[in-house]
Amino acid sequence: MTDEMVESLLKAPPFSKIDPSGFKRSLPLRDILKNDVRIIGFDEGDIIVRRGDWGNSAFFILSGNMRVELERKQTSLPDEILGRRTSRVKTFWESLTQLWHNNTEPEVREIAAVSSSKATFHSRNTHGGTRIYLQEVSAVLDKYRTARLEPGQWFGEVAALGRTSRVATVFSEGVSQLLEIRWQGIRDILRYDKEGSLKQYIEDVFRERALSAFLRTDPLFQACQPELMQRIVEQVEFHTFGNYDSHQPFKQLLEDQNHKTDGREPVIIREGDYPSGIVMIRSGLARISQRHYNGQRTIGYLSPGQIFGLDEIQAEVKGLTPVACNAQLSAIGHLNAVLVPTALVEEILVQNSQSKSSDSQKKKKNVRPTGSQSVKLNDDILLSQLVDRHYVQGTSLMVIDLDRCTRCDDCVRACATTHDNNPRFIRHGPILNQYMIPNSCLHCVDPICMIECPTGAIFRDLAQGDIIINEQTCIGCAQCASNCPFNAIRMVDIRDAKGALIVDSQTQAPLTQATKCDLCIDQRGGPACERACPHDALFRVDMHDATKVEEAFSP
Amino acid sequence: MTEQLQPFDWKSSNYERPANTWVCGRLCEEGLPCRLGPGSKGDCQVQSRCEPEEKGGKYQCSRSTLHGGKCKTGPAPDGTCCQPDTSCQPRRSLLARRRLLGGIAAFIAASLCLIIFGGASPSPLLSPGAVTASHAKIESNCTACHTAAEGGLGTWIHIAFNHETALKDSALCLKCHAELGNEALFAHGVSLNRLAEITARIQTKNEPVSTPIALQLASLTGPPATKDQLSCSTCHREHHGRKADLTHLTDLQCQTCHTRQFEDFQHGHPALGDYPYNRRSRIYFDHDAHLNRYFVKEEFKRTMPAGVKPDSCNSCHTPDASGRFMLTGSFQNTCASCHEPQIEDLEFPGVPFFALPTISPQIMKAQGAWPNTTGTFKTARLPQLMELLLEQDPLYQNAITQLGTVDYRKLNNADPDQYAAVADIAWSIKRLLYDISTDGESVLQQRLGNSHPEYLHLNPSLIPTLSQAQQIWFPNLATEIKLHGENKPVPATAAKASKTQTSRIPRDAGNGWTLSESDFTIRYRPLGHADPLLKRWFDQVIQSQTQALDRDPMWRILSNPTASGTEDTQGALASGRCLMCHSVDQNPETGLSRINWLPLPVSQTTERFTQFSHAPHLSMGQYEKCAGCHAFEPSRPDNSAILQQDYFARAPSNLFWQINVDGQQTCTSGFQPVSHQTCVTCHNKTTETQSCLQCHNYHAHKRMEKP
Amino acid sequence: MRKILFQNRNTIAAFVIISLIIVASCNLFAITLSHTSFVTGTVLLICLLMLAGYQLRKKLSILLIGKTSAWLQFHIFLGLLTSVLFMLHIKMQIPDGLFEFVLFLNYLTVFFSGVAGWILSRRIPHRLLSRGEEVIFERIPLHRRNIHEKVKSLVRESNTSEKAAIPDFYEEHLRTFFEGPRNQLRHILHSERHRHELSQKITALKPFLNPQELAVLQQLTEQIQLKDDLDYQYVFQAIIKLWPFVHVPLTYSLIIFALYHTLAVCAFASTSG
Repeated sequence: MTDEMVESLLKAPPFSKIDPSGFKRSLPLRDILKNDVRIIGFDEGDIIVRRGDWGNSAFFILSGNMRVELERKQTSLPDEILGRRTSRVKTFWESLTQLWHNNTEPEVREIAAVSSSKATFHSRNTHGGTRIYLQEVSAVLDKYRTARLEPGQWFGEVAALGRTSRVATVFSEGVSQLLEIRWQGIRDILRYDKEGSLKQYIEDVFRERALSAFLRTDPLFQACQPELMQRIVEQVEFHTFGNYDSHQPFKQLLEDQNHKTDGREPVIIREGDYPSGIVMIRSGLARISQRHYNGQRTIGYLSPGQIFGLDEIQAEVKGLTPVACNAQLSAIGHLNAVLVPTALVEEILVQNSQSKSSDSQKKKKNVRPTGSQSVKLNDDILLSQLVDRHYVQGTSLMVIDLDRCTRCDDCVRACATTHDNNPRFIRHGPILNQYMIPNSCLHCVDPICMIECPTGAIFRDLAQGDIIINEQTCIGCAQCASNCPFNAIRMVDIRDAKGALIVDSQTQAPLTQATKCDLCIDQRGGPACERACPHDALFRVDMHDATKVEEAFSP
Repeated sequence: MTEQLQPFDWKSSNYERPANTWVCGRLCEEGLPCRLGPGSKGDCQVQSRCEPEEKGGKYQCSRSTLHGGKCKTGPAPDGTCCQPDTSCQPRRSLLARRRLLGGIAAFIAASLCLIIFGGASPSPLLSPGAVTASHAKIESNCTACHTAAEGGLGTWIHIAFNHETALKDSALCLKCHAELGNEALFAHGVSLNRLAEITARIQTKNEPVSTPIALQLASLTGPPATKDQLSCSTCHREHHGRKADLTHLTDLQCQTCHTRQFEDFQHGHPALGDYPYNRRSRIYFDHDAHLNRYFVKEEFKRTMPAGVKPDSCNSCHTPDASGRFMLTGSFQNTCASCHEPQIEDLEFPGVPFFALPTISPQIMKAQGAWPNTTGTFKTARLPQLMELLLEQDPLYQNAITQLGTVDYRKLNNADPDQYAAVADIAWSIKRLLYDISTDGESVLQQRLGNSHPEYLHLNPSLIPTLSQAQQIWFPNLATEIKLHGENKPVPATAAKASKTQTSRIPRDAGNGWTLSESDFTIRYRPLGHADPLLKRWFDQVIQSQTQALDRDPMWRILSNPTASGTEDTQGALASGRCLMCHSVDQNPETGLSRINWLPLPVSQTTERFTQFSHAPHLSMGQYEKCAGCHAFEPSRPDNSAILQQDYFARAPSNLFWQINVDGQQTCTSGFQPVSHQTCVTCHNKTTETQSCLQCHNYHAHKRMEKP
Repeated sequence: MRKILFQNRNTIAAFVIISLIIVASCNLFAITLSHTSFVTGTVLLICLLMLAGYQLRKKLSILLIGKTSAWLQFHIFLGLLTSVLFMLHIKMQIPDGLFEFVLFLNYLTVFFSGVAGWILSRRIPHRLLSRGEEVIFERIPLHRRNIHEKVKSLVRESNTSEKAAIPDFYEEHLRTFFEGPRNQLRHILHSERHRHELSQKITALKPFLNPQELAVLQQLTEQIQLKDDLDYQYVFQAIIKLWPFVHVPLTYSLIIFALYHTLAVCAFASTSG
């Protein structure tokens, strides 16, 4: 972005409506725009975001029209048309050659690595980048239900801010120009914008576009009548808890082992309160705890998309008397949540019970037993520790059952084999019960490591959501390594193929790069460590899959 | 709460690399690893010290910028680097050490194989174990049994993929084990044709029985191919110790090739059939009559040896040295006391071999002397031998032709015009007698030629008796022959002179030949059992077709069990009838017959699948009595009549008995066949003496050890 | 003892059934006068190579050829099965020949080291978890040194007074203890005697110390506990890491011997069993 372009942007909405005085002097709005924003052009049919992708940026339409695909489920645009590709996985032969092609020296880097991506599908090279496009836009428009987005509208901000996947595919209708803004940029603007117009706008837009889809991800709302849903969407309240930039207190929190969680975490609903509605987590994590003597005992936690408070309202519907919450809900770090008012929930429950009686088969499918919403473990001390230490962040938490582990290091060797003879984790770490949590990347839902990366070298893989480091762009600032609360990122001295350290040409200091587990993203069959364990001691757990967590941590 | 030993933070703990070959030596020794770590080739990468360069008498630090550049302190005045030497000798990692150890182990194993156990020829160290005691002498010589032993590794590889090796090795076995015959490597050591024959015979004879499940299952894997040669190692596995039993095979293993399979000896074994009576005994002996009559009744007691009756089978039958066979006692020891007198048959005059026909002097006229002038000749024909001797005589033949049918009983009644012919017969006889007395055996040779060799070389010889007869009957024969040859009249008086000589010359030479002056006949009366002349004559004459022999008068006389002497002579019962007891067997293939002079020829058969030893059975308490196995046939009312049928058959003419030459016919021995059940009473599961090899031989042609 | 050896009961049943099938078919095969040694030998050799293939699979962790844990289960299963085959192969007799005896011993060593390793790898993790801090084996010298350094500095600090009770005590009783791994055998046997002796000596020393020295002694006691736990970890981690040093290298020699044996047998065995 040139300064001129920034100037012109600042003169037009939405940025003209933002009061620049609220911004820090070190980080004025101008700089945010300069660093975090770019203008990109699209041609007819160019796909801007795809449903299911992980996105780090939001878009503002400067000119031209966009089309949002409204279809869900099977009728949506097929993957083939979208040109979706899985990330480049090594072929069988390439996997095999690793056995002897791996460097014998540690941490060897190709200094002049050039990556050239091959264009396949309907892709074209325009506007300085390769894009995938829809060949016959009119046909697509006929076939699929779409909505139009016009200049002055935002899209993609939900996924960028909520650090969730894109909910819909957006492609360009005709030639268009977009403003792409990285999520850090939006975050900063939201934080320092005094008037909150952008925030209000984003909330409105979310309510309008995504809320219904978001709510419908839960079975409770799936069968909801459109009329009722419309009222729900109108009346839902948005709540944000905790500091957006909460990693700093979080690290301190980890270091202070003896503290009690009570009071530190913003409480959403207190134990004993009468719920004003059900809370559904949009992003972030929430702890469910109960009073235990003079403290709080963790009994579960909620991940995005999960609901709290439904049990009480259900009991209320049945008993016709208000029921108080039997647990406390508090935010772990930063949390976005929606609150659906009690009256509406009751209406849904009534509606559902009517459809239940009409179709008893559906009942089992739609309404799951209450209480299984949150992740729960029999061992509440273990659960509490997992939550306290924020391991619940992990989408792929590495766990070693020390009752089975023979310390053979086969996992480390397998890891090294798949990473050019460099291990990407250390087989040591905190031990909870008999479970060791080694220093390996958890692939957090809310990756703090990515926050301050100056080059964006650490990024979320669009296809799989894994967080990986681009070796070509990592400058070795160690920001991510020090940010990571789990010690999952290590700085290494990089070397050339002969094993000599690569040094800075001026200071002669050895160059370092950040390295971490990449879940063997370029390997066939996923993480090698898990497959290499001869005793089934090492496994990876998605902490947001309740059944898997329970399975993994049951002795 | 003790403090944590290890920090987890990224600054103090870097990646551990267990897959690397080298680890920092300082870590192992002092627990102080350097940050660089060893290189991939096991070299320490720490270069804290430099080689200071001398520049104008002063030393300057030469440390490269890569290692931190020139140090502040600089080199010492004597040119040594000021920095402490922190380099180390990297150590192998655990993994690398294990890998190295693996390499060493593999190397040691390979060298052991190649050096100690390998080499140009196999070392005895390679031997997988001691061989049996009988092979111990050749144990050290691998080549004695293994073709592979002739070379080193290369040969082995070659041989390991050669299918012929097993047979080649087996050939080495047969070098010593020649007793197994030429076809030892074929199944049972018999030719494939023979095997097929035996198989076919057994298959027709035996009912199929249920095959044991184990064999049924085993047959799924396929039995060994019996169509081809089998290696010795199929059954005999060596190198299992000095005391190993090379011939051990289980019953199931024995049966695996067989087409008729059964559970065990007790269940399903084919019946023994008539064994051991699947042929008649060689000597016709009526056990029933002897045991139940002669040895029981008092009246026969006097003829028994020393007047004692035999009380058990042992009296006649004793096991041989090997214990396998029961031998029958010799004639002298067992039969003689009763039957010797019968054979001697003192009343039997003997078999006529030479006789002078009765010719009246008026027929002879001036043709010379003829002693037999009165009485009647007893037979229509001359004795067999005479006829044969005169067969080639033209004079005699001429005379026979002139006379037409000659009946010597009525020779004197000839027409007068036939007198000359009769005289010619007389002269032929006289010439024959003359020739024999002068030239002896050579005349027999000449006259009988090769047509009747059985009469040549009779032993004892007929010639002395003939010569004697000539002197008695024709004392002047030489003169007469001479005169007759000159066609001069020969006086008939010469006969008288001989009469003076008669008393001087013994009529009986004591060798069986008798010269009867009364009827002018020379007879042979057998000397007793095993008469040499008859034995020899029978042995020769039996070679030809016995059907033809039946018309042979001599044969009729000597072999006919019912008659003795000439057909009109009512001789005693047994005289000369060797074949009364000794049966004749004809070989169906060659057509040759032989007389069974001995009761049981030991190891007569070349093919022996079964072995049975009497001795061990006799030592078993309750079976000491032979009757335990060999029981009399109770249902036969007249054993002897039926028994006789097996040896003699009445000729169609019904005049005499024909010899039955079929030895293989099922014999009604008077005993019941030994039943399978009898064997089972002892040989069964509980006694564990029912294995195949208990009774059967695999090597059917294996020569028996001589007792 | 849940899942201590086999993952489930079916595995044991399968093992028994397969063993019985092998024994039965071997006996049936012997009936046909076939050389069962050749069959069992061939199967044994194949099994051996498959067992050795486990090591290869570990190297090929990058390929999608099943989880290693499944391979290990198979490895153990097959390994145990070879014992049945081996017994059939040698016909329950100790071989007489020198070469075959070497082969026999080699197999037994590999087999029993494998069984031992199997049991150890099921038992030791639990022990390791029960005592001391879980550390990386390769870094134990480092931790040991850290403890020793700390102890030495403690001793140095207490050396201020003239009567150096603690340095003397250190020299006399503690130096050797801290210098390297100690009491390995006692740890294996779960004996705590050395600790009792040391604590008795410390108790005996206490009356002669002033309060500062007592504080140092208390710290020393903590370090002794740390070091002893470290020794414990060292011994058991060493055991679990060292048994493959018997199992793996001897496997290579076993394969070579077995191949040589196969060759010799194929060339020679036509006249012997």
